[in-house]
Amino acid sequence: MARCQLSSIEVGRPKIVLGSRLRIGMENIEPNSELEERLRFETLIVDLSSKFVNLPADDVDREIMDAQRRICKLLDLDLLAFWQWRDEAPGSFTLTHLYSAKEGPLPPGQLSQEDFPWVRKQLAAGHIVVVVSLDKLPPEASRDQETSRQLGIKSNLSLPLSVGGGPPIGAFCLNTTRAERDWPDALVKRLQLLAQIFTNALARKRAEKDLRESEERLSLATASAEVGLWVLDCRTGVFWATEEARAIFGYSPDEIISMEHFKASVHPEDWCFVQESLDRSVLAGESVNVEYRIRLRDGRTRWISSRGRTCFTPGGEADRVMGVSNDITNRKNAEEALRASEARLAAGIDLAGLGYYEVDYDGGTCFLDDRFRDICGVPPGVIQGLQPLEFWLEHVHPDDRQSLLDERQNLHDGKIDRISAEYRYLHPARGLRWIHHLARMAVLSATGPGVRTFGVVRDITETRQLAEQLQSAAEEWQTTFDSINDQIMILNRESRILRVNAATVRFFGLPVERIVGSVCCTLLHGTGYPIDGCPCQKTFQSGLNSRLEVFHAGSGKWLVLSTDPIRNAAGDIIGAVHVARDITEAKRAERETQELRDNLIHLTRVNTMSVLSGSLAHELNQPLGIILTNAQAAQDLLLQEPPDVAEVQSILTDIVAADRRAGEVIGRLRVLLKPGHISLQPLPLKEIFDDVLRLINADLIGRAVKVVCELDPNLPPIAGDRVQLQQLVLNLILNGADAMAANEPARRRLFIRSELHKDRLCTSVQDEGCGLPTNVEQLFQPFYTTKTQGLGMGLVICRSIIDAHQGRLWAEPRPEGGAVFCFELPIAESTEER
Amino acid sequence: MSTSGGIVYILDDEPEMVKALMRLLRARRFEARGFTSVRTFLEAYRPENSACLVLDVAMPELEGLELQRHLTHQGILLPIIFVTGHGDIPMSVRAIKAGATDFLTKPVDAAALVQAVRTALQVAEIQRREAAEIAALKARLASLTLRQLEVLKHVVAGQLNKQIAFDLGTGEQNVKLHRAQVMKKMGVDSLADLVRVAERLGIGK
Repeated sequence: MARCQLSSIEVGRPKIVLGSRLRIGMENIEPNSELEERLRFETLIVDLSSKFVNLPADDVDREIMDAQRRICKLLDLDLLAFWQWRDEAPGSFTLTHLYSAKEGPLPPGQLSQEDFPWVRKQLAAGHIVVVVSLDKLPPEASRDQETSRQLGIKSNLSLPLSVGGGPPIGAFCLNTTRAERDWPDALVKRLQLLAQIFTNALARKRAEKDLRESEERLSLATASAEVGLWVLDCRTGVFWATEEARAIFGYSPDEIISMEHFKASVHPEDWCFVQESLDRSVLAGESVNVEYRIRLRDGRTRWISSRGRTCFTPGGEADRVMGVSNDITNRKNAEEALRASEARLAAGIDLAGLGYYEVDYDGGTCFLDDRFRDICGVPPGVIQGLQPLEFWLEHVHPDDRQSLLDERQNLHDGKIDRISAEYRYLHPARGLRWIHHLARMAVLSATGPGVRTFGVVRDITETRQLAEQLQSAAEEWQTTFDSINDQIMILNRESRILRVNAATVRFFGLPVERIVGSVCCTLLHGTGYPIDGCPCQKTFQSGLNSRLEVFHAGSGKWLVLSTDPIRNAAGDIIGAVHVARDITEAKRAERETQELRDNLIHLTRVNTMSVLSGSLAHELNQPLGIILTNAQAAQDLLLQEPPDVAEVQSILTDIVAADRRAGEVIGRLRVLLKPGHISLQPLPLKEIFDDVLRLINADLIGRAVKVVCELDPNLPPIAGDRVQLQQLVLNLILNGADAMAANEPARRRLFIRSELHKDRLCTSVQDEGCGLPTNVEQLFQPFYTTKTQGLGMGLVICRSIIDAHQGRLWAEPRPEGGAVFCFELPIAESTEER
Repeated sequence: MSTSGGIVYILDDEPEMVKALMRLLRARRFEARGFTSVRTFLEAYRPENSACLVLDVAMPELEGLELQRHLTHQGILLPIIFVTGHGDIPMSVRAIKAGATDFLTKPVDAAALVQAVRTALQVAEIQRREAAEIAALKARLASLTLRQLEVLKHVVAGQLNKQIAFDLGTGEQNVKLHRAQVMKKMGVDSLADLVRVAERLGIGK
């Protein structure tokens, strides 16, 4: 703030009291005596004095010029000049007012010190210079003399001008150029007074000008800075304030601002600070510097910053306090917002477990927060300059260091706008840790472009370990998944394949990409829709495991498919696990076993026959052997002379006995050939035929025998023993095949038919073979056979089986050629018989 | 009464069969004796007669083969003719391996039976003679003194009298004396015969 000197201007009063003969403004009266001249001069002085007392600053120059003209005329001078030396050009005088009576050489606008050194010195000392004649100048004024001569000056009177007793600021020079003239003391004194008047006026003008300028500057400054100027009068306790100040405080332009008024505006909590600051300034001379809140009339709150200082009277009393205030609400709000934002940031960083840092590469400083120190293990002592940065870099794992440095360089060069890196860090206390690091360049600040970065670090060792564990668990799972030999597919609810194991990939022989995404049945069964009994569909509906055996034509393998549901957390079915196991081998083994078992049964039956025939042979051979030997003995005896007839008779008796025995054996045989224990079950006849035909299928094919099975599957089941009936059917079919052995292949057909007669089922096996003997019943006798290897017991056994079933077995000739063997069996009752 | 001097034993658990076989063989002038059990047979059997045995293998198995073993064990050289039924081949093979003379299948053919019996009796006779001879030789051997027996052994080993004397620790003259006695007792004239006799008796092996 500019210093404002509001000093009062004393106007000197003229000392000469003029009499009644004073005639003001009568300059035009011709001088007829010295007294008149003096009177005119005094009048001029009075006139000028009163005029210049209240002269507005703007008129001063004009009036001085006019005054000079009047003086010049009155005193018959030629050249009057006001010289002033300016602060800005200390070594020279500036001509400010000049009046010349007539044409003539005019002094230059500026004269330097060298032109009038002696005069200058005199004036500076406050002496009046009276020069009546240039010749009278002392030798040290030779230069002055020279200059004067050049200017045509003959006589000169120079009066120093000073204001308020201060050093001279200029000179008033009166010169003659026509002739020399005398300067009497009285005149000089009067002229001195005049000069003083002019000086005061000029000083006043300058002061006013200065004041105005200064006021204007201040006004400009305050207007542009939006500050409000105020002055507190210490005695009255009233504030003077500029328009801006009033606006800031919400006062109207003409309100009186008393101390109480002001206090009422200030926020009660802040008043003490304001009061204290004012007191300190007033009492101790300290500057006022206080920030406080005010409350406007409309309830709004503003933050104000006030600065000022106290002006003291020369006596040391506080006179005024002057200062400026401005509205810092925005700044305060911004500060508050910044603080809040910083607090949030800190909280955020803290919650996230992050360590925060800033580095100013240009300034060579860095800031680390406590969390960063902890995470990176930076000792508390390491804080100077960029030492923490170096410490950190040293502890980054050597293998990871270079790439990190490259990233940093890219960041500094602006190639990337942020770093996000994970690297290994050798913590001094905790050993190897994994760090996740984010960094950015600080935006350009008001101080210009500079390399400053900030960032956060986080210890992710546990996370990484978990990730690694997860990874290895996933790999382990995958390995296990792939090591299972069964084919596993994970399906979604639409039966699309989501995941497969290695076994599945091998099975399909397709790349994984072709398998995943396909619909299960398309790949597996080659159909676009689920097959009958699709286990996936069943599982989706029932939510339970489902199985199905299928034959996969593409690979020629038997598979058992097993599906289980996959549920989400809510328990809904979202997919299925589909497992396919290759059971081809198992099935083959099963089939082989079954075949073996069947063969065994077959063989057992055959063996029974052979066993039967073995014991049979033995049983019969005994009596036969006896008969033979006896007979041969008899033959020998009869050849003797004389024959021993008695002995022969004895022999014959024995022979008959033996024969009877043989008969008994055969009789017993029938009993032996009875089926033994049978259990009657309801059996579908077709099933029995199917079993037997399956058994001898290869045999029949070899013999080129075609079986035409015309059995109705809807016939009621008969009551029978499965094994015995199989034996029966087997015998009949084999007999039929044997009968056709001599036929051409086209005529080796066996027809199997069945009819229901009330409660009995009549089944026939017809062949196109050699037909029956005339005595049909002979067929069913033991040892009747037309086969070279045959025992002739087959049909005997069949009869006994049928008898055990309460059925009938007989044979008829076939009209078209060949034979028809029929057997009749009762149908099964609804209640089982045992 | 018998044609070739031998007894035909018949052993079959079927009495009718035994009867029939006896009739047949007697009609052919063989001396036939029949039994239905092993025990009764063994009670009646006399080894001094040359004989053969017609044995039904289809008898309770153990008894038939057991008998054969028993006989072999006893050192009874009785030729056995096995009669086999249908399906007894494994048994028959065993029997043959064990030393049966012949086997016939049922029903037995008369001619075949007679032939087999004749052969068997001849074999029996030869065996009997052989056995008798051996018995005689054994008796002679038993009459040797201990010293003479030793000398015999060394002589048939091919040693000279001198050597024998040295080995036995006696004089050569004594050896000569013993040697003469041995020859006499054993009833041989030459060294070669002595050696053969020794071989038959199983000495010097």
